[in-house]
Amino acid sequence: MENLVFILLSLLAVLGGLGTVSMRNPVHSVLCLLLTMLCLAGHYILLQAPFMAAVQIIVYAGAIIILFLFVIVLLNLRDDVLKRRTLPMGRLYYIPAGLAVMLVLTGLFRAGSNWISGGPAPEGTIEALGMELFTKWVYPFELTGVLLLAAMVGAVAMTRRDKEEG
Amino acid sequence: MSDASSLNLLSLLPEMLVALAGLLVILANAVGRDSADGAHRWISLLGVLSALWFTLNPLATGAAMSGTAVHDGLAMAGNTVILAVLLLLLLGGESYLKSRRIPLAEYHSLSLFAATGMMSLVSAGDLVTVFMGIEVLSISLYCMAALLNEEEGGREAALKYFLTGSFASGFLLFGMALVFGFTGTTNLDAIAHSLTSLDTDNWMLIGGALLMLIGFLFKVSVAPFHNWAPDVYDGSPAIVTAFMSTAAKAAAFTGLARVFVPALGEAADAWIPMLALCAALTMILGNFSALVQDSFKRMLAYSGVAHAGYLLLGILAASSDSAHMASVLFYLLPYALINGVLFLVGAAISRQRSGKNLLDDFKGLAADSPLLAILITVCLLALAGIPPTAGFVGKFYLFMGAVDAGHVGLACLGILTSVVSVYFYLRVIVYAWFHKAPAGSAPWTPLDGGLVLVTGLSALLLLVLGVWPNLWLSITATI
Amino acid sequence: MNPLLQHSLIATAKIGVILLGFIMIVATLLTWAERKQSAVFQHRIGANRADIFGFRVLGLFNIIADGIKSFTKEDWVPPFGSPILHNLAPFIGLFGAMVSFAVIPFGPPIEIMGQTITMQVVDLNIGLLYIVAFGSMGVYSVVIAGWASNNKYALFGALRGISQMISYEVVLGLSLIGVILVTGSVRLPEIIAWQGDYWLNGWIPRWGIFAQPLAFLLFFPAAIAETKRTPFDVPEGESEIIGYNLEYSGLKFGLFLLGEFIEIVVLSAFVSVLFFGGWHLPWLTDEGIRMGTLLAIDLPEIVVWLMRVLGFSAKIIFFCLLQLQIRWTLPRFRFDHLLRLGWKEMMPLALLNIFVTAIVVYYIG
Repeated sequence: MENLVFILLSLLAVLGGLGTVSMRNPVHSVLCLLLTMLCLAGHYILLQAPFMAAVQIIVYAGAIIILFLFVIVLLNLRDDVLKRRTLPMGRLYYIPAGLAVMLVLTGLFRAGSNWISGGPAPEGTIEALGMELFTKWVYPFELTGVLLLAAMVGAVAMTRRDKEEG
Repeated sequence: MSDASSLNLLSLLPEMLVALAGLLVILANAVGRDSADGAHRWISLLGVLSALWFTLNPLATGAAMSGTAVHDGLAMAGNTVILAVLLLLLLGGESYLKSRRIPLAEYHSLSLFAATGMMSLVSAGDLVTVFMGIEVLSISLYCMAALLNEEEGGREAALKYFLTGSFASGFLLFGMALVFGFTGTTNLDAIAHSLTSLDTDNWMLIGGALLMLIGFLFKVSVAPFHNWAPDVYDGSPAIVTAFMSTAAKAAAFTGLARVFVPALGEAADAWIPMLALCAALTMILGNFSALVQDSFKRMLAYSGVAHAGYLLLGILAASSDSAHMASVLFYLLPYALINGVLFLVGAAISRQRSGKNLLDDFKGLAADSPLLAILITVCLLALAGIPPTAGFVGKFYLFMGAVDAGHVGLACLGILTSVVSVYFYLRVIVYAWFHKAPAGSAPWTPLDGGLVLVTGLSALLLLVLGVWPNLWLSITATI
Repeated sequence: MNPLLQHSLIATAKIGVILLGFIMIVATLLTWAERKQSAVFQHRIGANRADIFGFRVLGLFNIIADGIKSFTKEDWVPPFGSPILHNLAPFIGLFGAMVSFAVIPFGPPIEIMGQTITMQVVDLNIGLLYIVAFGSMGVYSVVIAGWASNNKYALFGALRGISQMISYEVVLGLSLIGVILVTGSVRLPEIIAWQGDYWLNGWIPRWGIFAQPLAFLLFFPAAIAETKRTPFDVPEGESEIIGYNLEYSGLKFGLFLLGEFIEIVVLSAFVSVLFFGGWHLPWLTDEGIRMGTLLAIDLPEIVVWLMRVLGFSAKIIFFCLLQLQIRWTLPRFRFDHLLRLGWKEMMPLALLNIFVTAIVVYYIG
């Protein structure tokens, strides 16, 4: 039963990923990405991490992808604009990406069964996660604070207009 | 590991001071609005100076924050380089910031946040911290590159930097995930420990290490992942270029060393061939591309790429004997100082002529301001690696290390390409001393005092370190 | 009986009773209540024309007439848009609103035939976040509807919708953190259990509204903004500016309306659970009514249970009617005022609330 759900979710996630890169229309692309994100949330639930699943939906589906969609809808690109920008040379960059995927896949196949050496994951409750985050991982956690602050300052700096210019 | 006593907060004092200064800059801007323009600089200066003091005289060292940070000699040397560059830009960059009307609060706070990220990268004890440090420094730098976004090329540079940087982060993270999957831990010490007992001839580990390496090589602009660097360095504001081509590169190199030499050292067979190939390619491509540049900024950008190749030789040497790490750290300081100064001075000089950072702008410099010409000459000679400057000593150590580690061919290639590089460095010097200014151009006005001061100090330091390298070597060798 | 089968039967029964028996009926009645209430407000007689054999029953038959109308109207799909997405959009909104009910406990657990049955469909240990997560899916319905309609006015409506809903989602989430801090849980039964206690020798029930008054004052308007109803109805602006659902007609337009009313019910239930004690009634304990030393009336268990379930339903209906009242009382915000209110006034207050609450909880609780 669990395997069936896993396979279904994974299949949908991969389909969503493929759709993201292959759809011509950017809005369709983003919606495919949304599908992938939702499937990943499902995976978190299968991994006994419901909190991560909720955060995945709230943050990715509820905020990030909707902002993508906002920008894309705002630009409202027409098909002719999109076609003109697609250079044939641009396709060459698929090669390293494809090679990387090949590398990982071969790695996983060659690695066999001994590829996870960590113990069973602790239960993904909020309490357990909070405890880990604020004791062992407090330093990287604080760094994310600096990261977000820097991103915010940067966003304001890039979009602000000087008063003289009106 | 996670008891309170292992927090060791005091050892993180430099990082905290720099981040705090960044916060204060934002607060000062919020409270003081336009009247706080001077305050930003003083707050930053205070933060950087105190951080530098506590870096060189640490209150506590060793592992901190349950092992996610480690303050050892490597961290100390890396932090010193980063803070020195920041100090240099604070002292010498004021007139540039004013003349280009860069928003001061944003610039200062972002540069301090970027420095926080760099410092946490060089003192990282865990892959998670490595990644966070890289992200903090990258995001800050993307934003800084876009600070003059109304200018031609500025927007392109920022976007290019952002896209390639994100791409590189993706590689890095993927590699980390694979290494974590194989070893079951993200702690660098624990990875090194577990690799001694695991079979390192595993595709998962090798794949992870190589993906991480690609990510790092992107960040330090090593060929064939260097394409973004010249455009980004050219299009960004000069003071930001000075920052990212020096401090960011120093931090990324230290991070690279930290992850690969101690932690993945057991798996060295997997990544050394790729690193050696990239080093060779970088030295050749960087130097020969720099030959044909007409723009001073682009020339320096390609020379920066070439220097990344020399520094890779040091990493290669360190992978067989970690004592050679000192040579990488040694060279980072003169390299950072020279580039920091040259980008700033180049911008200031070009502003009085074409404004387009052309090499021709240097023509006739020596006739009007011989002092500045002398200082620039010292810096360029040091970059070319000519004795008795620190540049020579640094390159000497790097090449010797490569020979020690058995990479004789690479060392020879390094020397040969260095000879090539003398041509384009000398070209600037020749323009400055032996060419006349184009007819009808205005006489030079003296540069800003602070800029001349830091240029002088840097040149002096280059000469001093060239004669007494042990002053800095003794610090870097305490790893 | 097979335990798995039994379990599924109970779950299905719960879904049937709660979703169809309660929410759909309340939501449908609300369409009538809204018309009737607005009529009273505007001194009209209001919806009363539909009749069966001359019986009007206060205009209740209008609901049936509305249903028949929307079923039989032409379903218009604009050409050059995206037909699939156009069809999908109303269902996304409805889906997000309806599944949120799964975690809301309608009453204390009850024992039937030796089996304890909780009064919620599933007891997730992230119940509160679950509602927020699916609530945040509603915005997709708006943006997809606006985009797939191939109409610039619909598109503008969708853009207004995104910026409004994203902005107020931030306030919504932040105001909830205060509640989580105080009650120490994100499981809705635990949040309700915490509110079953009393302060001041049993005189003031320990409800969320008394523990987190500021959070309530921020949460309620932010949640109304998420339902896109006046005074926050700029995404739709049915009276003048036209919104994202411009190109919808018939049943699909009806689904948007139904989704909106279901959101009202969800919001009412959510507010009752978080700030008004859920199914707790003041001074009603498991044994009966206890009012300090003044009053003590013992009641049978089943009566207490019924009172609680009905009390919770009454709270939900009260808040539904309150929202209708707000809609017919307040004028619409101007768009810049709306965003300024969200980001510059409500968000700092929400942050302040978290800050103060955290300090108080650390030193007292």
